[in-house]
Parts: sequence; structure tokens; C-alpha cells
Amino acid sequence: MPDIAASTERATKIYMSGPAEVRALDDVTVAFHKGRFSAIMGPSGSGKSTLLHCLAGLDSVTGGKVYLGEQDLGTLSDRELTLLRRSRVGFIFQAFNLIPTLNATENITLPTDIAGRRPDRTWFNRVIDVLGLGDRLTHRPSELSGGQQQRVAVARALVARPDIIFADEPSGNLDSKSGAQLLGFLRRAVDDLGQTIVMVTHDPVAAAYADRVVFLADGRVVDELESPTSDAILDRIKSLET
Amino acid sequence: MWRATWKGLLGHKLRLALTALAIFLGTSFVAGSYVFTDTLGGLFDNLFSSAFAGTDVLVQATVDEDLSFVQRARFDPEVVDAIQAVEGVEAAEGTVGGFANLATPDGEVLGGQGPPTIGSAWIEVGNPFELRDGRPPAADGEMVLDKASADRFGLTVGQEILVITLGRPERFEIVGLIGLGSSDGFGGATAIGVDPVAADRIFGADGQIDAVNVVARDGFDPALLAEQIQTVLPDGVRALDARLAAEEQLAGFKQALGFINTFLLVFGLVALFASTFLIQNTFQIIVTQRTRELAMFRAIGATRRQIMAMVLGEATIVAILASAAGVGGGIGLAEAIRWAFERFGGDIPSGDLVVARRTVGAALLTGLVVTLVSALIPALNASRILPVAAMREAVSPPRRRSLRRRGFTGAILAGIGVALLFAGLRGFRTAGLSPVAFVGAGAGSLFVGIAVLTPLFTRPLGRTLGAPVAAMGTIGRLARENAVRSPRRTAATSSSIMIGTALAALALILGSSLDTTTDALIRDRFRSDLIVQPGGFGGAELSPRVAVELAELPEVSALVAIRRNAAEIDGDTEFVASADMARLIELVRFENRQGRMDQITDSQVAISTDLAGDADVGLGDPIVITFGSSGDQSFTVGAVFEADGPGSDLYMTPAAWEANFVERFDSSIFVNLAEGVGLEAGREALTAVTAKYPGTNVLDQNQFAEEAKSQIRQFIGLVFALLALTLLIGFVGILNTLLLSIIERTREIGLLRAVGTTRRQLSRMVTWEAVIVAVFGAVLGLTLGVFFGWAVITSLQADDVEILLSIPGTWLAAAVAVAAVSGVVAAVYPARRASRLNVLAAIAYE
Repeated sequence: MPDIAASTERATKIYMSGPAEVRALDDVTVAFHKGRFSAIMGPSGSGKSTLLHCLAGLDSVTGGKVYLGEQDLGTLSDRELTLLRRSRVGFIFQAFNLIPTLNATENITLPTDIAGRRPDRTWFNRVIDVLGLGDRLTHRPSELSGGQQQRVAVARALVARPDIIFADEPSGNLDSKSGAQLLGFLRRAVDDLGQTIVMVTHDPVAAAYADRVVFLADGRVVDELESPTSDAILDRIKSLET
Repeated sequence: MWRATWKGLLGHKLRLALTALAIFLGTSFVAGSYVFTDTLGGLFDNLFSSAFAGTDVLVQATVDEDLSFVQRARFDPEVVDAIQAVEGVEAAEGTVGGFANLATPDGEVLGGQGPPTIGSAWIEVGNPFELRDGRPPAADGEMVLDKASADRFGLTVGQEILVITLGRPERFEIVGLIGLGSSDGFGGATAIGVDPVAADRIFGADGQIDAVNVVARDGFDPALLAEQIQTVLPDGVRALDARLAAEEQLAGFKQALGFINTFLLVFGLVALFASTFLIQNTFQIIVTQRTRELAMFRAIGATRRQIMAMVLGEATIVAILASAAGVGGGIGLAEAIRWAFERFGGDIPSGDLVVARRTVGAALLTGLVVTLVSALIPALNASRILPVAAMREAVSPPRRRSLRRRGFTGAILAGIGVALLFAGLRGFRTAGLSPVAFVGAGAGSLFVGIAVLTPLFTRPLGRTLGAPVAAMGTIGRLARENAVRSPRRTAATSSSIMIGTALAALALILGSSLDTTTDALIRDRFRSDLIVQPGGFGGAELSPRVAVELAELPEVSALVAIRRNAAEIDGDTEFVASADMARLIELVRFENRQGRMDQITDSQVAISTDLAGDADVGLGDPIVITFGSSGDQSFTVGAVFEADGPGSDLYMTPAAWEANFVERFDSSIFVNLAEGVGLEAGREALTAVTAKYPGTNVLDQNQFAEEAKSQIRQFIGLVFALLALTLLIGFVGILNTLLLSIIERTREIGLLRAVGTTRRQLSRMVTWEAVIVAVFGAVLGLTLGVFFGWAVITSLQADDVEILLSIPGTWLAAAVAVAAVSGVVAAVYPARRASRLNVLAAIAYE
């Protein structure tokens, strides 16, 4: 299926927590389409972060397969995974997205710089323009507000033009206004720039920005919702809890 | 609270282990210096007391105590009869001795580089030696040798060896092996005993004697007997209780050993000084990282004092453990020095190292004091953490002293340092403090001042030095920014390297300057074609026969033999020399200032401008010289020549020498070849003669210069080896700081990995950071070292010492390169840690 950006096939992740065996992912088969904004939701311990990490090649599964496009991640070495992340994956974390010693521009171009490539100038300018970072480029992270820092993180993810961007609670540390602004940018990145984004969140309002929501509980996919609204998501969560 | 201290300690095992390593190295040197000198001292205690075991009263010529290493005057053997007539004297016998060189019959020198060979007549009365093998020498041509030396040289009873003293080398047969008390050796010196007739001849005594051993009758007190004997002795000869004589000689020896002690102690203290920065840095980082934990302690009711006690308690435990290990390290170090000594021909019995209570005390005390002083500021900072910090997310350093105050403090410390340094270098002294103490204190204060100032310019200087690294790309830029992101930490980390490099640079500059000066001097002064010199530095130098035989060669047109020894002038020990003055100025160039060197009489001396200044005398003035053998003698200044650095400051005629010194050895012979004789042909002719006198070298101008310089280089090499210790501490400091920084930057490293940084790139980043910090310290150290070098040389020049300042660029660059490489090596483990960091753990949220 050429329009699949990332997928898992019967993915299982088991790790030992003391004497107890924890099944973080339990036979998960799920696919995320190109050019779409997907959200993964679930309560704490549902395995949503583990799923994201496995999809991004930061973690490996104990059973089943994980694909990025058509690439089977299970066959890659640490170095190959690193190079894959570098060229095909973008990240936005909840906090600590930026290197404090680099200024905004340097942070944005970090993945391309590390790869020894030159960022596409026109694309860079367009991303900066969309995110409204034009007058903040020479500032260091400590001189930026939380919202601005997250926007720089988004810009970093976008400028490298990855196949897919993984976002882990990107608005989790922001006030509601900045959070809404940031999610709006992610939405535009998908709509206007054709980006693929998979986001983990536990906030129904944030998830409502997505085209599709996948619900996880106890390491299993338990439900899905297309074109969700926050009310619909809340209803679904309530029904899942009962 | 103690439980918390202990837990805190266990929680930072690695960091504290590295801190402990620094303390350990420093205290090892402190302990090692004491263990070594105590051991050696104990050994000589034994030797000296057994050396006079059979003698009750010793009769010897008096000697100035500062000149105890000069041979004492000889006296008439008739004294022995007079002594025997004194009531209470059981027996008395005169003896004679001196220095000798030994060689195999094939001309292979035995023990030429180490302690001297001391020979004496084998007598009956008060002979302290015990036969270990064979029999005593009974006739001329027979000798006994100490067993330790025989073992070292692979000699046994029945073999023949050459004994070289004042005449031609003579063959002696070893008929016995001797020991002294429980020891087979003499602390590395070689002892030989020959029959009295032979002794008189080979030591040039001409019927006179050096000493009389007296044995008292039962019931007679040696001290009282000595007083009785004194009444029959001529002027200048003294009778002394043998035990007192032993103690007197031992005191002189121990003074010489004190030099080794001081030398090692200085390095121990330099190492500990360099460690203070490392210790302070470690504790500061630990305190910063534990801000929330410490604030929590405050919040639940711990007082400031308790927090401080907790940090200092950790420091105390680390200090005690590390210093205790340092005592063990010191024993190892003493063992290593002993091994080195033995390699150079010394002989120190093994297995009985002396670890005095004072040694343990000194090591523990210095370790403790240094650690507590270093931990004081971090402890104060810890106590100032506010309880509210426990609730705060961000960890901010508790104290931000204003930059202006820092600049002010640093500048004052550096200023005091420079002032003290120059005061010391200009020879300023005050009650109880030598100029050296001023120089040391000045250098220390300057180091601390610069270390305090360093954070002010860490960023610009670090960025400049790191520019080539940053130009390599993002990884390089990250490395550079990491290197300067915490200026205080970088400053503290690089300080140890700064100290090591500064001292190394100073040693290099002094060495290079001496080299250059020696070269220039020899080129300037050396007028002869060849020079004949003794090969080793034992007590015996050149037999006077060598010059006599060389003079007979047709290839030689002119030669001059120079004798050198020590005498006291105006309270200072000076090297004085004698030579045929007319020949001397023909073969060695002197800048005559006043009078004529070649025309001085036997009652006149020629002195250098240096000595003229020191003793405040001029042409025609009287000058009193104290000789070890003849006491105070008055001369007139007959000529003044330009001071030239290493040469002797006073020359006298050979006749004046013979009247005042027992020694008849030559120190060097300058030789001019006859016209038409090539250098190689001349050398061959000379070597044919010197081959008969093993241990004699024939050198041309270049070889002579190399010989002179190699001694300087050996010393510089030793200093260097010890400075490597400081570099080691700097190395540990970098390792420590990097590890701590990596723990602090876990998140950042995880992020870098997530966005596609490879392990190799991360390793490179950490390594370059270490290199920048190391080079930063090295460049600071180099700058300070060049300043020290310049200050020392110009001060010497101001003192009229002819020395040329030479800055060895290549070597200094090499020192920076060594620092950079040490940075690379120090980064190996931290880089591994960083690249192996679990990405998920690094980016996970609490």
C-alpha cells in the first residue's frame, strides 16, 4: 500500500518491570496514512508512547513488525536506524526540544546539519513564515517563550522534510492559547504543506485537531474515530472506561 | 545527619572516586618523600654508627662544617706515639684514605656513574669492617672490597682489578670481601681496603695520615679521654668521642638527603595544589545537582550548619580514605625511587622501608586540609540553598557573585602573586623566609588569581580556540559551545592543566635558555681543540698523571689542567679553581677586567666580577678564603675577570692550591694540538694515553657542549616526569567534569540521538569538547609559563648572570599537543557513556 507512511503488524512489546512482565504493546496492527494528521490516545500506561517510540525507530518491538513506509525497522542496525531518523523522521517532544547552546536557526537546521546536507532555503523560509518565527531566528532557546520554543521544534521537524513527524504531547507544557496556536500550525502543516503527522496525546481538545484518532488501552487498539470532535472523543473515552 | 552524609557519598561513588584519586596522587608524593628519606636516614644511621663501632676516640684535622665533603688536612704520624702515651689509651693507629676509581684489567669502569669509591688503609685498631670472605690484605698489591659492590660488579676473591688514584693505574688482587655491621654495602658507595704501605702511595699521603683511631682502656670514658688526648695534639687536629664524630658526619649526610625530601615534597604540594581545583569543582557540581535534595533537607528542618557539615563530612571521609591510600602509594613511590637509585648504582637494602608516624600524620593532614579547604566554598553554597528550591522545577545555581567582584578578587590575587614573585626573584628575603618561598607563594597566588579571573574570559577565549573545531560543522559547534557553556566549570577544570603546563613551559624555557647559553659560552670561550674529562661523577676525577703523560705527546702543543673544589668566601660556599694561569688564558678565553690573570702570584687570586660584587672587594684588596684543610687564609685580589655563568669564580696558582687542598685530582684538561695535526689524529693520540686511565673521556668542542647540556637535560627530564603527575590530575579533572556534564545533559543527548545524531558523532562531540578544554588550559598555562620563564631569566640577567632567554617554540607547541591528546584520552570513557546512553530513557518524562 503506497499511501501508508507507517504501520505495525501484530506488534508486541514486553519488558520486565522487576519480577513482573509488562505487556506495553499487545498484538497491535495499525497503519497511518500519508498526508494525514493522526492522533493516538489512551490513558497512562496504555502503551501509546511505546507505540510512538517503536514507530519512530527509537525502540524495538519484541514481536511482530514495524514499517516506516515499506522499510521493515526490525532489520536495521542502530546506525541505520539513526540515519533513517535523520532523513525520514521528525520529532516534536513535550519539552526539552531544543539544544540550549544553539540559536533558533541552528536548532531548526540541526537534523540536516548533522546529516551534512544543506537545508532547502525557500522551504526553510516558507516554514519560518508559516510559523511566524522570522524575528526570533538568532535567539537562543533561553530567550524564547515556551510557545516559541515549541514552534521552533515544529520548524525543525518540518524543515528536514521528513516522511513523517512524530509528536509526543507537543502542547502538553503550553498554556491553552499557545497550545491551540501550536496545534493549528500542525494542522496547517498537514493541510498546506502535505506533511504526515502522528501525535500522542491524552487531551481530547488536542486530539480533535487530527483527522483520525486511534484509542489504545492495555497495549491494544480498542477503537478508532474519523474526523473527530472533542465531544465525540470524550464520549468515546467515557464509553471505553465503562 | 551522618546517615545522610554516608548515603550521599555512596550516591556519587564515581565522582568521589575521581576526586579521591587526585588527593591520593598528591598525598602519595608527600608520604613517599618522607618514607624515602626516613629509610635512607635510618640506613645511614646504621652505617655511621657501625663505621665507628670499634673506635672510642677519633682524631682528625678540624674542618669547617660547610666544607665537610672536602678532604681534611693530613698530619704527622708522630702524633700516634704521643696519643699512645696518654693514660687510658689502650691502642692507637693512624690511617690514610681517599677517593679511587676502579676498573677491570680490560679498562671497563666499575661503578663510574654512581656514588664514589672510598679507599682506606687496612689497620688493626678500630677497624670497623668484618670479613665476609677470604682474608685481609697482607701485602702491597692486595685489597679487600665490600661484598655488595663485589656482587654488583660480579667480582670474587682471587680476581685482579685496576685501582686508579693519583698515579698510574695499579693492579690489585682481591683477597677478601668485607661488610660493615649487618650490611654488606655502604649505601651504594664502594669501599676498598689496602695494606698501609699501598694506601700511603696511592693516596699520595707521603708519610702523613688522615686520622687516628683510638681504643680506650676499660673504664675510661671516651669523652673524657678525648679531652686528655686533645692536650697532646698539634693545632688544627681534634680528638672527638667517636659516637659524636659519627653523629656529626651523619648530620652532614642528612642535610644532603634533605634536598631529595624537599624536591619530592614540592611536587606533592604542586599536585595537591592542582587537585584543589578538581576537588572544588567536583563538590560544586555535586552540590548543584543535589540542589533540590538539599533544599528538601532544609524544608524538613535541617539547619544551614547541618547542610554544611554534611558536605564537609563527605569531603572528610573522602580525604581520609584517599590520604590513607596515599600512604600506601607513598610506600610504592619510595620503592620506585629505591629501584631508580639502584639502577644508578645506589644500594639501599630492601624490605625495611621506614613508615614513621609522622609520615602518616603528614599525609593525612595535608590530604585533609587540602580537601576541606577546597570543599569549603561548595559547602557554603550548599548551606545557602533556600528551602523553596525544593519546589522549583529549574535548578539554578544558588550563588551568583557579581563579575566585577570576581574580577576585583582575581586581579588582586594575581597582582599580589606578581609582586611576591618579583620580590623573590630579586632576592628579597625576610626573617625566616627565603626568596624561594616568595617565588613559590607568588606563583601560587598568581595561579589562583588567574583561575579566579578565567571565567571572565572563558567564552571569548574558548570560542576563539575552538574556532577550527566549530568550522568543522554542527558537531564541532556543539562541542565548542559545550566547552564554554559553564565558564566557571571550564575554568576550574582547565586550572589543573594550566598549572602543569605552566611549570612544564617554565622548565622547557629554562632548559632551552641554559642550552643556548652553554652553546654560546662554549663557542665563545673554548679555544682549545680537545678537552679531557672524567666520565662519571664519582669522587675521583683525573689522575694528575694524565696531564703529565699527555704533555709528552708530540701531537700536543699546549695543555692546561684545571683543578676545582669548594671553599668558603664571605660565608658562601664557592667553587674555586687552580691552573697554570699563563696556559689557562691561552686555552680558555677570559675577559680581563682589572689586573692580569696570567701574572698573579701565589699569594694572589683572580676573581670574577660576580664574586667581586658579592664579597665587595676590588683589585688589590685582601680576601679571606676558608679552606676545608688549611682553614682561613688571606690572599690579595690580583685580577678581576668578567663573570661567565657556570665557570669558577676564583682562580689561584697551583702552588697556592697545593698549600691549601689535600686533593690532587684534575677536573679537566684543555689540550691544543700541534700544527698540522688533524682533530681526529689528535684525538687518537690522546685516546691512546687516556685508555690506560679508564673513565677518562676525550671530547671536542661539540661533544663538550653536548656533555654539558645532557646534564641539564637529565634534570629537566626529571622535572618533566614529575610534572606529568600534574597533567594526570588535569586529565582526571577533565574526565570528571565530562562525566558530570553528560549526566546533566542526558536530555539533550537523547534529543540529539532522536533527531539523527549517530553514536560516532556524539563521541566526536564529547572528545572535541575535552580537547578544547584541555587546550584552553594549556594555552593559559603556556602564557603563564612563558611569563615565569621571562621573569626568572630577566632576574638572573639583572643579577649579572649571563644567560640568554630562549623560548623553544616547537617544544611548547608539543606541550599543547600533549595536553590536547590527554583531552582525547580523557574523553574516551565519557564519550562511550554518552554514545551508549539509552535514547528512550533520555527523552522520557518523569
